[in-house]
Parts: sequence; C-alpha cells; structure tokens
Amino acid sequence: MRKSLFKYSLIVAVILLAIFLFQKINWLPSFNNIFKSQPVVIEETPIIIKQINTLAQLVTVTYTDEVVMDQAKTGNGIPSIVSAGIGMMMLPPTDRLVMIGRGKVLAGIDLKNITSADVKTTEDSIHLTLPHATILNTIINPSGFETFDEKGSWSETEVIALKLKLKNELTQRAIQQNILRQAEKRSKNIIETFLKAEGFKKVDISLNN
Amino acid sequence: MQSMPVYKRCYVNCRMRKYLIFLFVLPVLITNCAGNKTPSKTDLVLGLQKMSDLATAEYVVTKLIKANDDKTWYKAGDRKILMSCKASLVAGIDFSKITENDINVDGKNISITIPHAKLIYVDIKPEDVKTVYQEVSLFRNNFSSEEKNNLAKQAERQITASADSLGILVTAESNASIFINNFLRKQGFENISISSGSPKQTLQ
Repeated sequence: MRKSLFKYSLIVAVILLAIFLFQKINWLPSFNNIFKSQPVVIEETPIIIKQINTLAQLVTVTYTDEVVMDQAKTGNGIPSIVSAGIGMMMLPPTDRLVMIGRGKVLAGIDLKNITSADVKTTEDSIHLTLPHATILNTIINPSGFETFDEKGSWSETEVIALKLKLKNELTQRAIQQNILRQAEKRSKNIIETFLKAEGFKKVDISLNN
Repeated sequence: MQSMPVYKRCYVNCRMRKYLIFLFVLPVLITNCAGNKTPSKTDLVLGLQKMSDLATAEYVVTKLIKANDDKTWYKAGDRKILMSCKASLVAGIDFSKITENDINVDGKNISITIPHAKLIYVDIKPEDVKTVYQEVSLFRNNFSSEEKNNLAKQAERQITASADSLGILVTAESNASIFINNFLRKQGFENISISSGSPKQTLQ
C-alpha cells in the first residue's frame, strides 16, 4: 500500500517536474498564459520611400516632457444614477478618454538660407549672421502615447484631435522653458567653436533681424 | 503477511518523505532560481538637453500595417485591420564632434573629416496613422484606440530598425559634405576636401 503510494507520488512529481521544465524552455505555455490574450502582431510589410528632402538644420536643444489630457462627451450607454441630497439623480452616460503623451521638442536654427552676404571675412576674423532659432519639430510617436482610460466609443478623428492637443501642449511648455533662447545661445557657441577650429582668431556672430 | 517492525517502518516513511519533499521542491527551486528577468525600463530624462546635430537628410516613408487578431484560442471570431502609416526619418551628423584635430588649413586650402551620419529622429504624426479597413466578427469588439496605437508602435519599431537599409545615412553624410563645402566656400576657401571619419552610430 505504502509502496504503491510512493510510486504514484513519484510519477506525479516527475510529471510536475517535466511540466515545469518544459514551461521554462517555452515548450509549454505557463499556467498564467493559458487564458491570456495573445498579442496582435503586425506583418512585415515593405517600407516605401515617398520623398527625400535635403535639410540643413542645426538642432541644438531638445525639451523632453510628458503631458496628460482628457476629453469627455455624452455617450450612448446606460445613464448613471447618483445621489443628490435626499434624492437620486440620473446623469447622462459619459464617454471619457484620458491620454498621456511623452515626446520631445527640437529647437535650433535653419542654416539653409545662409547666403554669401551673411558671411564676411577679413584675414583672420569672420562675421556671420545667423537666422533666429525656431521650433524645428515636436515629436510624440506612437510609442510615446499611452491611453490611461478609454470609456465609450471614440472615433479615429476624435483620438487624433486629442493627440494633436497633447503635441501642442508639449510645444507650449517648451516655449515657456525658454527653449528658443537656449537654442540660439547654443547654436552660436557651436558655430563659434567650429569657426575657431578653422583658424579664425576673431569670430563675431549676430542674429538676423 | 509479515508486518515490518515499527522502527523500520518509521525509517522507510522518513526516507519516502525526504524523496517526496525533494521531488516537489526541486522544480520550484529550478524555476525560482532561473528568475524572470524583466528588462529595466529606461528612465525618460525630462527637461532641456543640449544637442549639436546637423540634420541634413529627411526621408518620408510609408508603410502598411497589417494585423490579424486570431491567435487567442478562446475568443470566438476574428478581427482584421489594415492601417496606413507615414513617417519621417531625419539623419545627420554630430557637429560637435568636428574638433580642431579634424581640420587642416593651409592658406585657401582646407581639409575636414566629418563624423559618420546617424539617425537623429523618427517622426510619426498622429494624423498620418489612418485605418484603411477593418473587419470585426459579430462576437468581437472593434479595435480600441489603444490597440490601434499598439499596432502603430510595432510599425514605428520596424521603420526605425530599417533606417540604415533605406540608405538615409549615406544621403545624410553626402548632404553634410555638400553643406559644409558650400559654407566653407562662402568663407573664401578654394580647395576643400571633406572626408568621413569616426564610427557609425544608431538611434538609441
């Protein structure tokens, strides 16, 4: 009796050990994953080049931040009942979308429009007129967006509108942080260092009015 | 049948128990010792940071995002989606890496070694990711905005990974040479020689 109990326990233990080992080397799905939704994986499709542009942008400052925004509208679901004083009140259903956007704002100067008139050299001195710094781009890629809450039905246009609001908010924050002044200062430093490395003893850089 | 003496029975029981404990504990130990190492998430550095990249080339690319949600065995019915995505890849050189050692001046002659080009950023605008077609069976929900965004994230990764094979780095390096050549000519240099030097970098 005891012998057979030992034998059965041994078989069970060996089976359990085998299951654990097979799960470890991914031959079997883990118990947690059996009822887990499988991720939707996109197919490898070709990337087609539509346009090639030549740039000459000196990116000198980047501002990285995260912003949160929400949007609400009257939905089509079941109205919610809330207590109001001694009675109850019926509120129309509310669809809500809360998104987080993490991205960056790039600032610098566009050197494409520098003409010969902007560069004046005399022996070992140079005077250069640079354009003012601008916001070159605000980037929040799909990897930077996170949907914190999504209740109800939201159309693609509404989602895009909220994402654009997040981008706009990010740009505004960067401007409030004086990104343009910092970018101008840094651009002047970089160009000055480059010109001095070329051998110019006196370098004078001004900004275009 | 002759029964075992009490002391012997106790000895066998103790040995059996030891074996059983060992057999049950071993898999747990193996799995625990192996550990589930999750990659540490890179912390996002917020705020202003200095850069010195000269962006010289932009590639505008398109890609179709095709996905089929039929891999979960207990969900009745399939979902298919087709989305279009437009991205802009910008590459250039790190201007701060051109030092005095990389420049040789001899009167009106100058030779410069510029660093190799790198991918500066990938930009996928929210309005450039559009759903072209979707088919959802009766028992399934439509793709939520988060699910669509997850598909776009995968496309972003594929586009970023393909930057080098698209040839943007070669174009960026060539454009950087042309820009610097023109800039130096405006300063009065006549014989200009530009070459590429330091090792290649990729977007982090």
